[in-house]
Amino acid sequence: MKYIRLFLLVCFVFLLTGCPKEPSNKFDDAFIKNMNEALKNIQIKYDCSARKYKYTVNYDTGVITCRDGVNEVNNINDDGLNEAQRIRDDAIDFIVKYINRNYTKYTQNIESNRSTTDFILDVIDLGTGAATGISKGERPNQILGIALTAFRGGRRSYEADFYKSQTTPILIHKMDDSRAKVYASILENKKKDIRGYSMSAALNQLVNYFNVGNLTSAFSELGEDAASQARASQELVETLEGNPTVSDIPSIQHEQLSDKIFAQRLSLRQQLRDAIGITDAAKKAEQLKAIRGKYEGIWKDVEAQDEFSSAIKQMKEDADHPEVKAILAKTADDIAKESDDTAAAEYVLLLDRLNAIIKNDPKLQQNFLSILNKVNK
Amino acid sequence: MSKFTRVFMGNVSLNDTQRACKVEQEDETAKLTGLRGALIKKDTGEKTKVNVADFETVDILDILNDLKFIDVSTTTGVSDAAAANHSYTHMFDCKMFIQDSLKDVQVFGRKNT
Repeated sequence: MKYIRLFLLVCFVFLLTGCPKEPSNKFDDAFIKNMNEALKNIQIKYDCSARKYKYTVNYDTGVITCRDGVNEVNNINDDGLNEAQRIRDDAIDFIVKYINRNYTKYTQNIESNRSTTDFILDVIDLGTGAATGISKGERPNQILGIALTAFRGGRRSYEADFYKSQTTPILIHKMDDSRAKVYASILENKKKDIRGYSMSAALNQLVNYFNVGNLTSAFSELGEDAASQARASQELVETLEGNPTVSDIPSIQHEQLSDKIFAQRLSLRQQLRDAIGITDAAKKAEQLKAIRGKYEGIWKDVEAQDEFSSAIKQMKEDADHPEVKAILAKTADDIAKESDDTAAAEYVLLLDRLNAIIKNDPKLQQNFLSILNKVNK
Repeated sequence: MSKFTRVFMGNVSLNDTQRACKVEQEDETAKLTGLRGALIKKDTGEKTKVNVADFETVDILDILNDLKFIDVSTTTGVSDAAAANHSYTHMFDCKMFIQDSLKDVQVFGRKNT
């Protein structure tokens, strides 16, 4: 009797937790009744054979009777254990087929018309509530505990906001993977006789087979995978020698100012490149002269402002940038003799370096931007 | 073209590190060439998680100043990275700290005037 109740519970849990959009959560569903009847008969045959008794089948009524009465004769089945194993395996195949059918519908629903998070909440609430209502007795409560554990784990993951970062194909792949592992174990266990793999053990595995085929389980396993990988990776990072300087993260305001200055410098540099690329010699010379004029104007304005004197002084003494130092060492006559493209390229270097030196001084950056805006309208 | 590195704290968000690298590119006229999580061990033995960014000074025209860092340790990130491939140039993959957790990150960039 306890196996019959167990089967009924398993079936209810399957139907109620596996697919909340399906009509299978109706308790008067004809399919459920028929299946439960079949499972009841399987249980009678299994129990009878395991005790090495024969049983009879009335094919008209479908009633199966175990011949274990005291007045029965010729009722011992010497091959009962093998017979019970065959019945167990048939039961497994029967339930697996049902779970697979349910799983297919479940994944179709996920892919088609429901948001993932809504779906999960439905699974949790329907699964726990309905199963609690039909559980009675010692054995059903044990099975119910297995199901509840999985659901509770999922709810914790949900609170961790893990779900939102997952996508449906990955989740389904994870469920497929988990189901395949459990099913492989079931197939392996089917090789054992009923003493090594009883009907109740098979049922436990089938409950697990069902449980891993839902989103809750997939989320939980993905979360564990990610945490495990993170722990392993962190052990591999290098430790820096010495005492390196840690730079501050720039503010949004700094970013905005840098963006504007960069855009102006980029525009000027692009104008220089465009001018160099002109094929018409006269037009090229005209454009190069114009862009050189812009650069010269910018640099003159920079030199004219006292606020930049410290930065320019630093540039003149900067041993790390000898090319900049060399340009600033030139006389006005030297520069005047240079071709327009050469002179412009040198100004590019000067402005690049100046920009780097003043990067942590918002006032100077603002002044620099004003000069750029004035010259390069 | 000279190379240099910058070290940023590893306890900040991905956006903060992205902004730091972007501004560094713009201010130093340099290209971000690499990024990795690392630890700084203090005299007390305490370890601080940091991100080390490698740069190389380049012509301003060669800088992809619109950076996009994508955490690909999540499936959403993988999808975002796949989408970013259409509108950004993939620069490199790295492992870096995001709020003190080491994550796989893909770095993209594009020119934005």
